[in-house]
Amino acid sequence: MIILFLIGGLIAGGIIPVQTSINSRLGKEAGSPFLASFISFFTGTLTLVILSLAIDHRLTFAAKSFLTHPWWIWIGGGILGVFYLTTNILLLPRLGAALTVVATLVGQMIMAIAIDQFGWFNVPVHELNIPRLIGIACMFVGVFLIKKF
Amino acid sequence: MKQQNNSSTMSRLQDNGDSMKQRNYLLGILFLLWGVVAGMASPVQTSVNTQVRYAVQSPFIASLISFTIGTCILALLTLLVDHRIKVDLKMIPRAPKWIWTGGMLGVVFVTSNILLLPVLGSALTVVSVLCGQMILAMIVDHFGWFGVAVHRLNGPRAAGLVLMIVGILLIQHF
Repeated sequence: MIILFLIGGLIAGGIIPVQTSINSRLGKEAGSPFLASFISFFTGTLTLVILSLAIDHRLTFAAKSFLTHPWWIWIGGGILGVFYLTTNILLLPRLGAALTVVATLVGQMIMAIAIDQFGWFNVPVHELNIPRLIGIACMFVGVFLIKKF
Repeated sequence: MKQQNNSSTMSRLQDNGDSMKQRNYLLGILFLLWGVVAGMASPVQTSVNTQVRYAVQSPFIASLISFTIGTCILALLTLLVDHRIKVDLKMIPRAPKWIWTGGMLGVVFVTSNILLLPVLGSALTVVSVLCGQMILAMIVDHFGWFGVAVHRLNGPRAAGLVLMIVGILLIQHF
């Protein structure tokens, strides 16, 4: 079962380089990377309205969940998404593709390990151990080899 | 005298070059740190979106909330940077149709992450997504899709991919 989820992760990741290529072309046609990101998010929002209606048959949710959950969860995801996206757009020409990927990857791994280690945001605790650390080191060497050659 | 002038100009230029180099070096470090911080935002985003998923009891409505907020911020950002938010309608028939599909792919990405996090945990989600990213990037490079320069698969790249998969298996197993 977990293999299916891992494959899901591979597919989700495979989308990124395709999306980057598509959005950079959109940026050229629209004449601005920010406008391109806006169009991309806007069409994504429309897609999700249709998906939510098709699958959940609703767009609403219980209003009391605003009271039972911390306020920042409602805006946090969108803000962080735009921050990540915009940073990539701005850093790419300054750092180059390889360094941009490596820098954001270092940040991702540090935070992901911390989230697993401490079970932040209600994520189940997965403590860091030596084999996991070796696995992460393998990842970094792998990314380095692919970016270098 | 002239000689001296020349040499002092030279040394001033040298100084300028040195301070410029130092400034660029500091700027480079600042950009790298910025990249690291932005990278940190990514797994936090997935975790926050997962909280919203449980609050609204739907991964799709959770993605929708995230995208709606993102769209509003990007509208403000576009106005701030470009001083206008206007799509040249003439480009629509002229440009290839597929340039409009990036947003849908973003939807698949964000929603998949929300679905994967509770099952795989944060590190494994990041790592498996990253591996898929590298595999497809190598395929795009190898065949030169979307007009990118052809960059054939070679030994070190294949070895890098194998290492990434070993890494995933290690993280998943322990």
